[in-house]
Amino acid sequence: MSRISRRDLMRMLGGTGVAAGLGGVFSARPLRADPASRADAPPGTPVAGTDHPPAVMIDGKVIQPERELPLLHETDVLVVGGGSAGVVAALAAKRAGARVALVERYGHFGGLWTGGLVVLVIGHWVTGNKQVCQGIGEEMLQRLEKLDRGIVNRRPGVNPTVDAEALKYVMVEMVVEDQVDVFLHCWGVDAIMDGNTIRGAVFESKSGRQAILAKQVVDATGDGDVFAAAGAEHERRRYHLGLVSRIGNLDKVDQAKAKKSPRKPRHLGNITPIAGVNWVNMHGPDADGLDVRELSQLELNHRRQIWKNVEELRSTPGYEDVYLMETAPQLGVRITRALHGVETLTMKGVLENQKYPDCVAVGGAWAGDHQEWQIPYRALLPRNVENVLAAGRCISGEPRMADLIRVIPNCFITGHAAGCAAAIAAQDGCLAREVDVPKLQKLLREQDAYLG
Amino acid sequence: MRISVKRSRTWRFLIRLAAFAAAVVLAVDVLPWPWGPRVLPSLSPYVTIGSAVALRTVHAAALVGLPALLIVLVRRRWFCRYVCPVGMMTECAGRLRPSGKTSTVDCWVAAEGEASSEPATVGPEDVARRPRARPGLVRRMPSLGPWIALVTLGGACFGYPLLLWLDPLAIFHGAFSAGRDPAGAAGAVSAAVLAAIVLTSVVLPGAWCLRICPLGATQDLLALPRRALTRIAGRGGTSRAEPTAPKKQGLARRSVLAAGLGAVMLGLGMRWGRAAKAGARAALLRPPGSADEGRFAGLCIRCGNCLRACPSGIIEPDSRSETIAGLLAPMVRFGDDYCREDCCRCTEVCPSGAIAPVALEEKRSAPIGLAVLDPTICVLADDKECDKCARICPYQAIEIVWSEEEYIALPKIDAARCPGCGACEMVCPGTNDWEREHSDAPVPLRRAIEVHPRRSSEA
Repeated sequence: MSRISRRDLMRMLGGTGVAAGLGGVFSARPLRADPASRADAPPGTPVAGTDHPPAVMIDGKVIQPERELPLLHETDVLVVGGGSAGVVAALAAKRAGARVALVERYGHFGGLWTGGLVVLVIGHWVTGNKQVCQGIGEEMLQRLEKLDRGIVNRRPGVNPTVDAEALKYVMVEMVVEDQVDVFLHCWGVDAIMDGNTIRGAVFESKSGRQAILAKQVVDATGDGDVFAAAGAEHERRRYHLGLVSRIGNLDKVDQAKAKKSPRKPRHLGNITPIAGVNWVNMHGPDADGLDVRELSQLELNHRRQIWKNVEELRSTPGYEDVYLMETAPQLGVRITRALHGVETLTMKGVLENQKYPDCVAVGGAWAGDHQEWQIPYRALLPRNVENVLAAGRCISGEPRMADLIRVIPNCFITGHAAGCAAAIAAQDGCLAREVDVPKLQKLLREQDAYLG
Repeated sequence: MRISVKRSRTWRFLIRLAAFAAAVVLAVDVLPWPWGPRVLPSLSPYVTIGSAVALRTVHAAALVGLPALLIVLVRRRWFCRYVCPVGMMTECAGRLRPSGKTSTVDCWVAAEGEASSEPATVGPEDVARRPRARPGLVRRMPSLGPWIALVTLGGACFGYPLLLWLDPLAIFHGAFSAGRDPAGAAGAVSAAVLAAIVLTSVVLPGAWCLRICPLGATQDLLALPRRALTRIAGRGGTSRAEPTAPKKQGLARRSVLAAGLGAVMLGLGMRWGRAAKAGARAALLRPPGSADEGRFAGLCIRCGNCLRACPSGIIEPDSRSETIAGLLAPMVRFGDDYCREDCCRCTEVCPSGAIAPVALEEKRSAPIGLAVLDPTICVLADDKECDKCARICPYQAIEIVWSEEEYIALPKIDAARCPGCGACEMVCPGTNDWEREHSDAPVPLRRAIEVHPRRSSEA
């Protein structure tokens, strides 16, 4: 097989010696147009060959030939990842006056908040029923409130539950209203580096591999894909990884029958804004959310188990009509990479109420049962790479902080801070590291963020 | 002679007053010393001996009582005469009696004072010497003190000092816990007993000190060898010693009987103890370093020290004990707090050795119990996100472990690390609500993770 491939390669190269240096050889070849740039070609135009040199086998190894990437877009602030952190970051940067591109790998916004069905907003209350996570994330919750069946349990001190579809709609509305440049179905796969300064990111999509250039990049991928590709110091973590589902017809449960049941119903989940529909969480085993084999195996296992769990519930007296409505499109990956930032959040800091002069966000408690804790701008800043900021669950924190950092409100507040900081850096023409912190804090406050 | 007696009485009264004041200060526990609360009950030779015999070891706390013990060996009832605060109270109470100017205690103490070097027998003849006292009743009263002391000593030989808690110093000390939560209930009982002693002394002067008090009786018993020696030496072989001869025989017979009875009652006590363990009520948790359940209730003198010392307020008197023996003994119940990893106060203040001293670094080897999980009510079994128990555990004894078979994660408790501090129980959000709501009979509230007593094999 490899022999044939090599022969093909030789033919492709026109008999030129491979040893002469692949890079030089490939780059010398004329690049053909990308399919996206041939959009003017009428449908039905026959296509012969490929528009870019495919990967080849050389000495049994798969080699990706060097090539120039078409430029998809150029902007001030590039936000990679359209989850709770990314959407807020994009809106914040746009409202601060920057040109913003928001790139998302799926066809909708919200990431785990919607696609992962992690519909519980947990971690924005602190002692005394005070809500610390405000700003654009809070605006989303308020917009959901105006919708029928948008959000439930929205009252002081209680963690509300949103409807994933309503939230997808709200996010689309906000992104369209603020005229953010949106690229959906694009996976951020690489960083574009100029020395140790990031200049943009590379995306893979149905249009092929394309580049977006930007003055500042916000890594809201959750997995830290961009800062990792840029070479920023970070660490990988294994954490429990489940799959959320929704079950329906709970309003049709025969309560009289259920009352007499000797068996406690299991895997019942918790209410959503839609009557009779519960969302069911799953803890899952500790796994590497960056290992595609593990992810695949878990998808298979989880989907079988969810079906089994619902069957078990249906066999409980009174619960016969319950059915599995939907499994989350996205696996519930909780933590994968954590940035080694200039500052690292610690549980000790949370418990001892550590204050930071560059506080750009304030986190809350899972059950509103402890004090607020500050997040410094430096926890979003990589140590050794310029102009990329972490937002969401991948910011710099010790492992014990994972649960406080990874929750939805914390994603939208760190997204807010990163978006504003990136906009200021782009406008001031400075490095993200050099952003005027008081100016950043002023801007955040103007955008209704709470900084203590 | 008379002047010297008068002067010695005045001196004695002043010393007693000072001792009483010191006892109050110790019992109120205003001194900054960590071992302060231990001193007063430890002074009692009755407690010292009972505890040492039962534990087969001389407790560090016992050293405080050692000087008192040694003096008592040569000076009978010395403790009653100079130190005992309850004696002081009964004496004063005796004076309150309208018809009497002198109390029983004062009277026999005076008699003894006159006897100078030769300790006198406390017997009916002393009471008879007092013209205004009502000797009849007290004289006719059986002498319970030696019985109590011997039964307790007999029990102590088998590890269960049956009536150690009748020690007057423990009662006096415990009374100062009254009204102080969480020791209040036990303190109130001690205060009531103390009040009863004082009231009895008004009506029947000397009834407590001469006929009931096991501490006084212990002193009598301890003085026996010396008295025998003096008699052998031929000194004091006067008519005054005559009436004591049959009494001594009585005591010897009595001691055999009492030891036997002590053994029987010990057996019963142990059986009650086991019944309590097997009972429907969740088995009791005791403070760290507590003696094993079989003898804890006996060793404990209900002084209330541990209850008062606990900064978390998790030690409370057992008011619902299924056995009389276990009534008001300290038990641990985790409510809003747990046994702090930086504290071992309760183990420092126990005067009777019911709770042995435990150093901070030894807390793991002196467990209160063991955290036990009920997987059916753990919120993790309900697919919720929770790691409160694992997070709060000061000993890193809990880990959340995924089960591929059950397809849920559950806390796993490392028994070797868990001292049963109750921190996990305090924060656990999992309760048996469903069971309670779906049961016709009342079901007590349970948490998914609770500290249970360790079985001896686990301890």
